[in-house]
Amino acid sequence: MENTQISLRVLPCEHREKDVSMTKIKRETYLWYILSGVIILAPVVGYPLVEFFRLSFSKWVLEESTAYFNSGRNFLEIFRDPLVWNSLKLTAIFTGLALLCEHVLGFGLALLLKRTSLSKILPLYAIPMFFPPLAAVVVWLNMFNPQFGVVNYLLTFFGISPQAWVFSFKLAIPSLIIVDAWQWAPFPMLIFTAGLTTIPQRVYEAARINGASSWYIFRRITLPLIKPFLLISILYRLIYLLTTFDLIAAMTEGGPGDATLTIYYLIWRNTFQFVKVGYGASISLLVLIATIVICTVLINATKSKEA
Amino acid sequence: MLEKSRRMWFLIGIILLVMSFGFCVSAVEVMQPEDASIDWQQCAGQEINILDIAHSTSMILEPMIPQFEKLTGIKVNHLMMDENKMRVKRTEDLLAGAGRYDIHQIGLTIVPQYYKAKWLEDLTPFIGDASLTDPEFFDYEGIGKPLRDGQIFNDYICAIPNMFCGVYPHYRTDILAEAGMWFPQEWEDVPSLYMPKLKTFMSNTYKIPAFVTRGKKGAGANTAYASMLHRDWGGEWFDEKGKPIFNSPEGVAALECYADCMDPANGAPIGGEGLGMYEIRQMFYLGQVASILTSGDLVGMFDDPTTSNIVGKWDATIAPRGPVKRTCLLWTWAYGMSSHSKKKDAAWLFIQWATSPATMLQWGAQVPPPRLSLWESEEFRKIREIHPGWVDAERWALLFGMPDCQPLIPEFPEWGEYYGIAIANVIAGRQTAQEALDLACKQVAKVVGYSE
Amino acid sequence: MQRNSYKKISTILFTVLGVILLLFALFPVYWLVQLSLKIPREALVMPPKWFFIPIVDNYVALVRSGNFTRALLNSLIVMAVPSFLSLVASLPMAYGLSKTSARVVRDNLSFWVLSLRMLPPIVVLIPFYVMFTRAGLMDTVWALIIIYLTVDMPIAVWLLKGFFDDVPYETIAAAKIDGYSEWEIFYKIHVPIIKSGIVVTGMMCAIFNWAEFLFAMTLTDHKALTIPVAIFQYMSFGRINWGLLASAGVLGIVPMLIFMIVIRKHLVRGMTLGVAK
Repeated sequence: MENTQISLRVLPCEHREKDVSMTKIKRETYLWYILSGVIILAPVVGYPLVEFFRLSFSKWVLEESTAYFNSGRNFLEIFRDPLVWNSLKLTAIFTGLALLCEHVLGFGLALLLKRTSLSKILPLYAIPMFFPPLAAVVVWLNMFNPQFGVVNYLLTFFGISPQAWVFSFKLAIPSLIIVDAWQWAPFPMLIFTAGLTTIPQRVYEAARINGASSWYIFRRITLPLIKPFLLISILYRLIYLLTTFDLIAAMTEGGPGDATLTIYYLIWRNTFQFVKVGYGASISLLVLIATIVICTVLINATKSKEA
Repeated sequence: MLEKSRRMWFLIGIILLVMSFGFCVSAVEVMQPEDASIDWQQCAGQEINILDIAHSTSMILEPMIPQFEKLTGIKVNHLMMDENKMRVKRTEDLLAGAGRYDIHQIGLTIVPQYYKAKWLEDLTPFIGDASLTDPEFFDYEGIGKPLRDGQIFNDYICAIPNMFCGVYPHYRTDILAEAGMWFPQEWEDVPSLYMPKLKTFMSNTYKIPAFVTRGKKGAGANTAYASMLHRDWGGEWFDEKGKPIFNSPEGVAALECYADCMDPANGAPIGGEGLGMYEIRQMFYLGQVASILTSGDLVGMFDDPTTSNIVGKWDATIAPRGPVKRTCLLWTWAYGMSSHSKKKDAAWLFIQWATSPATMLQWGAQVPPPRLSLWESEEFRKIREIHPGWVDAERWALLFGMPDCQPLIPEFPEWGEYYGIAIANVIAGRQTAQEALDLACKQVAKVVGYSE
Repeated sequence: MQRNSYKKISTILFTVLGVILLLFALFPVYWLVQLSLKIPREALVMPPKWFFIPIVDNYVALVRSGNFTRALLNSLIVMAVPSFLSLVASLPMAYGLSKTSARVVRDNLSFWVLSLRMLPPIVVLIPFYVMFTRAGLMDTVWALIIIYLTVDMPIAVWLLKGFFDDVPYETIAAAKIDGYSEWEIFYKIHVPIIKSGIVVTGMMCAIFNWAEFLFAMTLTDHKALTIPVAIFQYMSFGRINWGLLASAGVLGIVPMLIFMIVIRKHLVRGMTLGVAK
């Protein structure tokens, strides 16, 4: 079973391109296929998208409940708003650390499970991923509670005094990262496990026979072959992290003070509390552009890694 | 001069309270809906949607709604949810102009913003319309004046209050009795004398913090309570020209006192800068803190045997005073009618019914009614025996409470955001009170459009 | 010889580490379950009561409230239907994108479809609110189905395209020689080959649909609410009813767990296929 999978991957793409005569006839058919999808998506997404762009260049006037076009002034205001910069910084820190923890943990787990006989119970490790984020928040809020939380209780056995976790400036982001890593480390773990299975055992054996140490094998063989999987995982998780804020909204609501006011939460605040809908849309536009840029970079990195 | 008149008002208040004790001989008399002079069935067959919070007032009202449906033939969809989620849905509905909900639950501090946005229907014509309102049955003036005034702008009545609460300290009667202590009358004594002494006393027995108040930032969250102290020190928010001046020496002193009350060294719990209203209430009714500053509508919660560990073991006291005056924050929730509603008459019939003395009398003493007359009822007499301090404190709030402790401006959410962050930073010790308030004033100035 | 014993010791150490991590992963699950089996007052004592008599009052209250069973049903519908529909709608599009020789279309369009997913949902909330109100779809499962469909499709198209890309050319060539028509090549050859990939894509969509909160809360009231919304209702009025919350959480996970058990064979295999794209 595994061997056929590998042959699928190793085939270079050029073979397909060469058979031009076949593909020429098919062009129209494929385009019809594509169009079918577009037809389904366009109507529902079209209007909100247009509204979104319009709003991001407008100022919402509270008295009249409408938006007036004000060209790019929103963006000037964004540039000068310290809250936005603070949020961007926090978002970068949080997203970066979260991705790091998820993937280190996930990768470690994948290697660990492969090495030991625990791989049979792999699905058990994936259970946190299937929690609705709100349920995860509920249980972790309960466990992190400074007064009656079980985490503080267990810490006393290690001689650590009770911590305020999500209620303290210093520990708010680490608490969020713990919860995020707990819930989503299984995702990279699954992807990496899949990736590890594509490396044929023969390669390892050959390396061993040639006297390579475990560390060398890891660095020169495992890692490079895993890279495409790593990038896919990061891409997917990045998009998810940048477009949802269920975790933050439920656990800290922006955190003690402004400790966890990520950019997404700031957009929420501006739109729904301050009723500055145009401003919120402008910030979203910038976030969208930044996300697209980052993802493009990542995807290109994936492409260039093709074996 | 000011001091004298304050004292006089206080004396009058005490006299009124004492007098009203004497009046509790008979049960309160109210007019029943059936006796009202209007035709309740005039909107029969319509359906209205109400967006409400999962609050004791709403939860008590919920089983009574079939009464209303039978009386008027109007179908009512009463949706209750957490107040933060409700605010989001409310904003969406009003922003989109969808008119999906006919009646919204409106908090006191958001009324200016909604008034500016013209999202609420003016209720004055409804009250004045004899075919829709029976003045005796509805008794608009029977609702406490400060509460009513908070909802009126330029003679435009935005909403009708259906509950109120004051904010004042609650404490554990058993613990304080054991320690032989009283809750202080001056705010300055709380972190300097009361808390350390209680903390020392409890360090061998209860091992719980002495006092806690709101630390979590948010407009109307920690800002509400800190604003009480701000006023007690004589601080103001804006001067005549609209410049933010809450970084005055009074404001700084008030904030420092507030932050001291949340200092773990003095006996407050850890993580103060993030403790919000849900957390501190939970701590109190689980018996994990000895005293707390909180709103006064929690009798039902604190005396609920299934969740509370302190049933009957608590009481409250009138809010302490600052150097300049004694203020008590007054908060109301009120029913407002959406200006996009398509069934305004039917909605008005509901609002009238739900806030009438007849309906509120049925609540018993579970929820503090915004009508002074109802405090004479049998149920409140019973409660007074267990929690006398609470009854007095709540009535004091109804008579003398200050609805505009916080600035009632359309930009309230932004003001609250910056001020709230400042408070949290000071509590956590990341900034001094002066620095934090200077920054907040600068930010608020930009928001309200004030420039030098 | 030495290598062998080294291997044995390291295996044992790693196994121990793995077990510890498993405990870390599963402890919150245990905690949630035990929270749901206690009265809130008992659940929140410190030190925690490890041994207790479980009660089912929370679950009874939950089921009796009627709300939760409705939420469960809605969540199931809203998880399965959009996933299925988006698979059906995305398969042709992904196939077309994968096979077309118009490279401009292939590379750019697939990226732009994916970028739809990168849109912060908040900004489209209000327009959607207005749209659905005018169409009379508020508080119906159809509103959620439509929204989730438009969120699932970009991811589905992107993933499925990757799977399609990896079907070996020999298979296609062989099929053409055997005289299969274009549609048959798609339907009878490609689709079965990437079966695991389809399952995995469906799983991704299902997980997202199940857990999605923002749109669910905005567009539903009491008729079409889903589980995350129902859970949040119990965090109300300063009284976080841990018992009800926990039992709601537990019941919210069970369907997903069942789902996971059913598809566990495809989990790893599906991730392998075409992930390299």
